[in-house]
Amino acid sequence: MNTKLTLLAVIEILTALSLGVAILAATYVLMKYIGKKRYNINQNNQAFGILTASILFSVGYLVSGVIHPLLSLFRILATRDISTLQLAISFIGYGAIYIFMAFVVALLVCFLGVIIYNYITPIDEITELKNNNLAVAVVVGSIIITLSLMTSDGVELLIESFIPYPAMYPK
Amino acid sequence: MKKVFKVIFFFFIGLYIVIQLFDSMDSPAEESTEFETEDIDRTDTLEQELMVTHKRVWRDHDDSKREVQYGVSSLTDYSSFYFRDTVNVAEDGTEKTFWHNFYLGLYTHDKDLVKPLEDSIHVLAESRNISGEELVYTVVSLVQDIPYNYILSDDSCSKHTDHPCVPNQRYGVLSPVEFLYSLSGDCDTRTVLLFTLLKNMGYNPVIVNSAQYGHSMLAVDVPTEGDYFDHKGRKFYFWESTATGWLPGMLPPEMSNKDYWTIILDYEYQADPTRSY
Repeated sequence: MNTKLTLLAVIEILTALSLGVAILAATYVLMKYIGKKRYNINQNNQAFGILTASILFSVGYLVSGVIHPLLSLFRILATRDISTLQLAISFIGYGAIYIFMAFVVALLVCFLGVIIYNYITPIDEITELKNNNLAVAVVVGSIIITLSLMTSDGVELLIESFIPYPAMYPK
Repeated sequence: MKKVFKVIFFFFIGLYIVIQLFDSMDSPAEESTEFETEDIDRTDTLEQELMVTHKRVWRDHDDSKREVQYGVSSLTDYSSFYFRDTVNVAEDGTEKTFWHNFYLGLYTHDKDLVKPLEDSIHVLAESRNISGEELVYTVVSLVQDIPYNYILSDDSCSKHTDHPCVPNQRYGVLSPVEFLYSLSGDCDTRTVLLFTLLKNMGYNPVIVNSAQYGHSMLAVDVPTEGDYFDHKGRKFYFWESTATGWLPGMLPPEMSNKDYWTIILDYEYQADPTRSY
């Protein structure tokens, strides 16, 4: 067994799990807050549930693009002459910044998707969701998911651009 | 919300423990603190033959000090240069076939001529107990440590002033022996040398080129994580060789589109038939 690779795999799993729990919980709380406080949407509203599920998937999918750059960051930091505590703090600290950045971008993609479609289509999607219109919820949810699939490479590249990779060969 | 914080807290504790285990796996810091990488050259004249001896001192991926010494005679260097400068490369009109045949020719001609370095690496491996995949890291870090030089097929060195430049070299590549002799190498000069060394040592190296990025990289099937491609049932991880610090599985972000990379020469002397170049 390659012990080092096993530990690297465990680090990847733990990072992904803690990332997943934190991001999904934050998104869920945010959606609940927006639905209840801003639009006064009932908790049993199925249309809003579909929208929330779509946003949870999209945010999770977009933020999952951070895992690979984070692992690269960990491997780069691990080659440096620093203590374990410094390594852990640097990894978690840098990781938190990159995850937060990806989280903000993911929320922007989701909310911009809803706002833009709300603006360009003749119907008011928010009102329809409030009225528990499932058809509109499925369409808006699909739009959000598609947008997240289309922008995921860009989000990953954005995070990669902040990873302190070694110097590159000259162009 | 308290429950979420509790779960995340325990994940972080677990993460810290695993990081500590991972960090303790590194080999004890052998002379890892203060030393400079160096290149000490000596030139001896043996009758008509000039012998250049290079002593390379560098940091391996785990920060350990490594040292090899090897000699290359001017006659060996000339033989390798003459082959590269006069070889007729079989072509079928595609760049991929051209580079495949050219790299294969360089490897075939020089594979026995790089023995002095190969022997020195074996001595180092035995004395420091380096084996298996660790030896691949040692070999690649040795080549990464050699400063980058432009190798140009024309005389446009005046446009490339940020690194030393070698103009007017046929096809803009030096052979493995020429690289070992002059220590001047660009991307594909390095990948051909690494391919030659690793293939001789029994590993499975692959040379991948990208026309879009104008770059050449090594790929190896060491167990790690990161950017890879599947080839003949194995995972091959990209490995940048032009600068220190790059690890297998790290594609530079500006070159991260894997569709733009093509296998030019694999360990069974084949190119990827499915992709153009």
